[in-house]
Amino acid sequence: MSDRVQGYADAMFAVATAEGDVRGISDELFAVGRAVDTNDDLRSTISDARIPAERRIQIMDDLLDGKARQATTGLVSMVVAAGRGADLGKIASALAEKAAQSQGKQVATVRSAVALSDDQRNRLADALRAKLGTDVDVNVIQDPSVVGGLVTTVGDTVIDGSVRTRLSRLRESL
Amino acid sequence: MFAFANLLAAEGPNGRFIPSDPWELFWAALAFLVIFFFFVTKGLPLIKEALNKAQSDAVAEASAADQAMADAKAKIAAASAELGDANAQSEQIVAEAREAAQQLRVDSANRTQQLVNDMWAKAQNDVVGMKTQASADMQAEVAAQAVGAAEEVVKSSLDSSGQNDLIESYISGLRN
Repeated sequence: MSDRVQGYADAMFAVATAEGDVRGISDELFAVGRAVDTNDDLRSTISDARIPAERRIQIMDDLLDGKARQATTGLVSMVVAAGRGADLGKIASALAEKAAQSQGKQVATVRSAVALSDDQRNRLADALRAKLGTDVDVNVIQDPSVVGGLVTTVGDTVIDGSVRTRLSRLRESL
Repeated sequence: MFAFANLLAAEGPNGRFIPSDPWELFWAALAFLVIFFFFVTKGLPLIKEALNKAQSDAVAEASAADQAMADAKAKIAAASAELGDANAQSEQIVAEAREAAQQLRVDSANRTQQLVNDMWAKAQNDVVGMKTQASADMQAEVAAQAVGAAEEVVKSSLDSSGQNDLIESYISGLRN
């Protein structure tokens, strides 16, 4: 992770801490970052220096209008205005990591074909804590390629219970 | 006897070879003796020397001829020996050539056989490899088709309830 990405994450963490909603803002930024990473057009648009910064900020404001906290929208606008829109995903991941560390937790990145309910997220966090012996913040990435089940990454540990992996094993075994 | 000769001579020609004058006999005998003396003292040594020389020449020539004959025989023997050696060598060369040709034929046959064996082994290996590859390709294709079909079946059967079941199963698995 570059110093620049970490610097933006630190600044965002300070803002989120000042707003008193680190978890909420971090989750929203993680979702935005994920959306930017998976959408090539959006990523290239918000990082295109030929497009005026106001226009790029307006695009993100329109996307987040009414769906995210004001602080989240402001932070996204700050990153886009600085011409670092392409790094939004990395910055959001660094922020999530920092937010979790600030609470003595680790970030568990969970990939799922479908969205998880709050109850499922909480029970998943509890199960991961029981298994890994550490508190975790669960960040869910909706990934259709998983097909079914979940893939959880905590640090260097990967717990793969996806249908995609089972199908791959089936293909290899055949 | 001289008187008898004079008597006969006095009778004149009598049809016998008796000179009418007996002195003729004397002079003839004297002449004969002179001639004989010179012949014996001068002629005979010359003749003897000539004969001896001729004899020695003949002997020398005979010796030379003998030597030449011996030399010729020696040369003939040497030539015969050389011819024998040449024949032996030529026979040896021919034998070696035959042996080399035979060895070459054997080697060529062996190489040909080895080549045929190698080609046969390679062909068999190729066939086995092709079979194996075809089998592997077929298995991979079948596996891909089967997995693809399974994936489609799983996707189509994974409704919201199925997804939730998988998630709950995952969470339960973490606890165990």
